[in-house]
Amino acid sequence: MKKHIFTTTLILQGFICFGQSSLLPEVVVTASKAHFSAIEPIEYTWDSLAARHKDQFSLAEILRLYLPAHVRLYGPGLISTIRVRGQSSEHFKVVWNGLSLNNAALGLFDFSGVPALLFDHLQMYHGNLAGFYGSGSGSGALVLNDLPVKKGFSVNALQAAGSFGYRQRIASLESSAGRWSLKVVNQLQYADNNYPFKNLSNQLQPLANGGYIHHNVTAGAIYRLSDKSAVNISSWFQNSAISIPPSRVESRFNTSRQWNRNQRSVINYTFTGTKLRLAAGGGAIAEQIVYHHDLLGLKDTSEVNGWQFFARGAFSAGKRSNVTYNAEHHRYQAPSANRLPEVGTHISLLNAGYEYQLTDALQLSATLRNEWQDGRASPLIARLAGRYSVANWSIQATGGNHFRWPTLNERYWVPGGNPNILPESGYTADVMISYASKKHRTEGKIFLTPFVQSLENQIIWQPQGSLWSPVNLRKTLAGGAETRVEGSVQLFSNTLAHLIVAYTYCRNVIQGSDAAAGKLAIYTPQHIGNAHLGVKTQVWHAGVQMVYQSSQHTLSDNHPSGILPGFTVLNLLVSRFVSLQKFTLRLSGEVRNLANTEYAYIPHRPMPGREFRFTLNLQFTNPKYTKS
Amino acid sequence: MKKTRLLLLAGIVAIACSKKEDDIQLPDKLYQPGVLVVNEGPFGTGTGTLDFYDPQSKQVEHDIYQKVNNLPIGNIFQSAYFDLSYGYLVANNSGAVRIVDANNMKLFRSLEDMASPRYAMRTGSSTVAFSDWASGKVFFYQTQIFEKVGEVLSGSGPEKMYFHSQGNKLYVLNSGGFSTDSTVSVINASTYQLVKKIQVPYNPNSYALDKNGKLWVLCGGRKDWTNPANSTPGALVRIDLNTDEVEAVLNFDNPDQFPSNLCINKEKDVLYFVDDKYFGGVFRMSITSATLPTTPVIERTAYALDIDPIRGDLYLGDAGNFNQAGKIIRYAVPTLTPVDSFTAGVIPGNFFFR
Repeated sequence: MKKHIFTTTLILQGFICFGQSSLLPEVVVTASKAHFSAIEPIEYTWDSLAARHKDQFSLAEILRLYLPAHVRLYGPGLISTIRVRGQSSEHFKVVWNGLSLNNAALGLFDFSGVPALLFDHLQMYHGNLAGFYGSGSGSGALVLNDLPVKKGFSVNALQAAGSFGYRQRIASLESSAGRWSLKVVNQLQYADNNYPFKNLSNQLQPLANGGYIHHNVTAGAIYRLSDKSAVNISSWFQNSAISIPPSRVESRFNTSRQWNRNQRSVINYTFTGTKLRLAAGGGAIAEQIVYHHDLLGLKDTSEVNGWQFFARGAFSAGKRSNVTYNAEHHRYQAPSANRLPEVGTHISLLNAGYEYQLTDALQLSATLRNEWQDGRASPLIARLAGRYSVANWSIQATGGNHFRWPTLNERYWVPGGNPNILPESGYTADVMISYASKKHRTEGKIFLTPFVQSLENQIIWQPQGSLWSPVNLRKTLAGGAETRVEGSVQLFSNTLAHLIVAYTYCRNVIQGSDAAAGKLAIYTPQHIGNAHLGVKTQVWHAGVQMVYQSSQHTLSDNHPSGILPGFTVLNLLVSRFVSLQKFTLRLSGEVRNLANTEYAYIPHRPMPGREFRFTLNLQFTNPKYTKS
Repeated sequence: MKKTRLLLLAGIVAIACSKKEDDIQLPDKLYQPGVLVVNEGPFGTGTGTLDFYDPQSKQVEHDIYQKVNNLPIGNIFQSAYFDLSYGYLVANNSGAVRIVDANNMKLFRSLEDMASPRYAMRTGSSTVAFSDWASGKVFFYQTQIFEKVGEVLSGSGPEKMYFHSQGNKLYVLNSGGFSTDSTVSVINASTYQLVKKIQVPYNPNSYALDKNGKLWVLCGGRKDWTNPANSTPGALVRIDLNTDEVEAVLNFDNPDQFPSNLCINKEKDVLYFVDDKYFGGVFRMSITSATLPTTPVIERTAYALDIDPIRGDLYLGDAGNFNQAGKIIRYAVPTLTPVDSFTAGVIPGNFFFR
């Protein structure tokens, strides 16, 4: 007992004002699996090992470990973007409690410093299914949501320390009071990042100027108006101070710094009836990036301020049919010295779909979408889909076109922005075959999804005159398959082994009359794989994770000098749980990059070698605590 | 019997062709005479490479520095300069000068204390100067030991340099860097003192010395991207090296263009240049002409352009989309008939002829 009290006191001292949220809500990750209706995706859960350790992972790590997403990471704590099916990050949309988070100037969402624990519910849609969320979701969409606490409360405090000055502190509180459900999370993460790497002369030297601080605060309140309706108000404040080190080929003087300050707030009314579902609301976004190049003394402040309104949902149109709908309007201003003055944009979207249950086993759907950007109308975006299920098998096919408006930087960057740049567009189709089985002590699922995705008018920055400008240059055609195998075996009465293996093959080839026609598109590894093997008992959890990425081209003519080598990285995680009445203490040890592999996601941006992390996590949970 | 004879003959031939122990050991490859092609490499994500082209055999050897030293040069390999003893391979974004043995390309030493070196120029029997873009300075190093012996604040974005041995003067083109400049610095190469700043139009970027000893300087002009009405066109100026005064100015018409890559033929009486960097064609004019030419002589994008002062051919570097291997085209001068072409590394940006 004394030992427990001592340990508990030690941890609490470390937190000072940091506490953490309760027993973590059972997070679900949803992929495109048989997602048929935009509001009723079929989900699959994480293995419980990951779910109980999600506070240790960033959101990008979760996507990399569990989904067929290609992460582009400049280094720990640095810019981190996601690519799916060979498409650029501007084609992957991130939606948080209904609010679109892709930066209107850059077109993408930077995942750096975003911890997974901020969100209760993660859904990921691939290809055509993501089109529900409009322009810029041609290859996928990640939907992040909060869930209400129904009863009780929980407090959670976490402190982590690791190699290269890594520290993380989290304090969170979740509670329900009458009709109210509250959640507050305060997360701070920082590191020196002074890990050794091989310089151009093949000598080991510590990385300099690589430190970062990321601070996230989320506060959310959900008020239940009735059993069917609720109002959700959420705010997310994100501050970062990042030192950007020179790449391996750059001068040691070539350092820069960046400060990010993002504020996002949303209010969302939801109604979940038997014949009508609705999520309607609006929100505001204020994002600021201050960039300072130390060597040149250049400083730029780039802002994107705006608001959005949305109304999404579905209603029953008879016993066998549903109508889905989505209407959005976005308005952004983007003041910056590097964009034309008074730059702004209006984007509107209308999306309507019809779903019909032909038989118990067969469903069909058709969706139409149109968008308007500053008076310009998009072509009609259409999607057809069908799903057939029998016994343990299911097959789903979708096909249609996709579309992306140019970003504000592509239109108005000074110098070089091209106000007449055309949107990117293309076609996409996939077929998902799934099989699920459950026998005695074993359970398993297999998914196989061949896909094809074309892109026209790809926007590429190239020299035009004496400056660089975006031009609609290229066509690409991507094809491949995503596979996933999940399985679990009850080894003993209290011991469960869990395995997830995911593999994606993607070959994205440049088409048309381009000089690089026939070559593979850059930054698209043909093979991405990850595997996760976990074993858990009541008090112990242990797992091994593997991330594999094949080599990729960084030069458009696929010249061998531009090949970024592939890699395999192994991580190890062991946890011990100690329960004491309402308290649960978790002690975790992690070895990242167990084999000390030299690797990089971006050429000459080396990632750390073997590193160790230790986490102490104290949770206090009210016995009544439940979450929907 | 025939078979025996054949075997005997083969044995004799094999012995005759085998290397003797006391053979004279030839030095390693000299990479001369020929053309060195400086490939910048993809910006920020790769390393530059050095190619060697033999104009006589028309053979190309790629990435010779890496082959010899098993090390990369660095990012944005800006320029190469060779004297009789050393070669200076200047990697701008890596902040590195790789000093190699001029005879075998073996790495002798790396200088990494300049933030963004651009060009090298020998300034006497025992000193070499490096222009450094970020600091706006020119640094002088003593050769052999390669220790810094002097530095001079030159201007904004100092780049190409010309050493006038008669006056012991170093002319430095202050190209403007990320802002603007409109001067050519004159530096005393013995005392490391700034002697004079010659006022020229905006952003001088390249020069050529004609047969009369006049220094021609090509200025790109100033570009105001936020208000194009404030942009000024480029100009070609002639400087008298005796007085260090501008004695002629020929103004371009189009402020949207950025003239660059001035060079001169072997006879030093016809100038060649590109009317718009990244995008323009190749123009030429006699040094006696009072007006600028209006018709290109080569209608092809030239990111790099230079004339071999020894053999007289013109070399044009096409960087393509700047994310792929570039192409070099060799033209006969003055007919400008293509003689040869070959694939270079990524973004061929400069040449050195030896």
